[in-house]
Amino acid sequence: MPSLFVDTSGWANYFIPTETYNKEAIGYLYQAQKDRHEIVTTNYVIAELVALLGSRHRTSRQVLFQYIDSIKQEPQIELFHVDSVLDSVAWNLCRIDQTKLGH
Amino acid sequence: MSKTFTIELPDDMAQQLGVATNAVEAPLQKLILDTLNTLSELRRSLQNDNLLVRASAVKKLGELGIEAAIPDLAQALKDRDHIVKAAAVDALRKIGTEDALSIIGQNQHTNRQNSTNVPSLMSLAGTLKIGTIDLGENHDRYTAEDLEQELSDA
Repeated sequence: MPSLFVDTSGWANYFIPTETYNKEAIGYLYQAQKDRHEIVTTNYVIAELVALLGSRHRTSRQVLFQYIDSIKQEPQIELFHVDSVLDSVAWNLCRIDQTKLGH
Repeated sequence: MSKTFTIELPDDMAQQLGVATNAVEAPLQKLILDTLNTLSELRRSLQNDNLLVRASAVKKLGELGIEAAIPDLAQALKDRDHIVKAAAVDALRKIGTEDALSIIGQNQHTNRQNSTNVPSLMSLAGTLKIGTIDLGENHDRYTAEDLEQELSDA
């Protein structure tokens, strides 16, 4: 089944109406939900989103938590927790890609 | 003086514990007794006041990978601390049987019912008005600047 990965920029563009790709981000997520495709994100992305939206008081913590909770509680979203195993796999993939780039 | 005791085990104990027979090299009974002892110790740790001890016990129950741990992990989902709850979800996922996954599903359903005050993702699309135009595109730069600011304030 196709899935949609959403990174920090993706969530920022989805929630903030003045962001450059707000309409596109909403469109992609809407289509994925409509087509019942899995939407994937990670705990690292969520942590970065909290730092990005919450720092310098851009957003109050109460408001911020609502947005983050809406991600956490959406049934169609698979929230991956990056543990040591997943981190090793990703790092190995990264090294392989780097080797290919080197040639 | 030595004491001898006998424990009668049901014939299908290995099945009940979900032990993969092809992975067993030690005598089966020793494996079962060791597993029961570990289970017993971890169950005691689940009652500990220290949340890290409880979370660690939950993690180890998941690593045991046996169905006998499922009721304890289901109980841990109701722990007062969210770290223990999250560890219980991971542990049940690690066990991965239909029962374990079903309990995770039921728990998520209950949590959602108890959190009806959280707006849906769809309803929040394009509603966060903080007046930026490139936060998403340049989030690395913004995060780095914020970090530098925090460090210089400290």
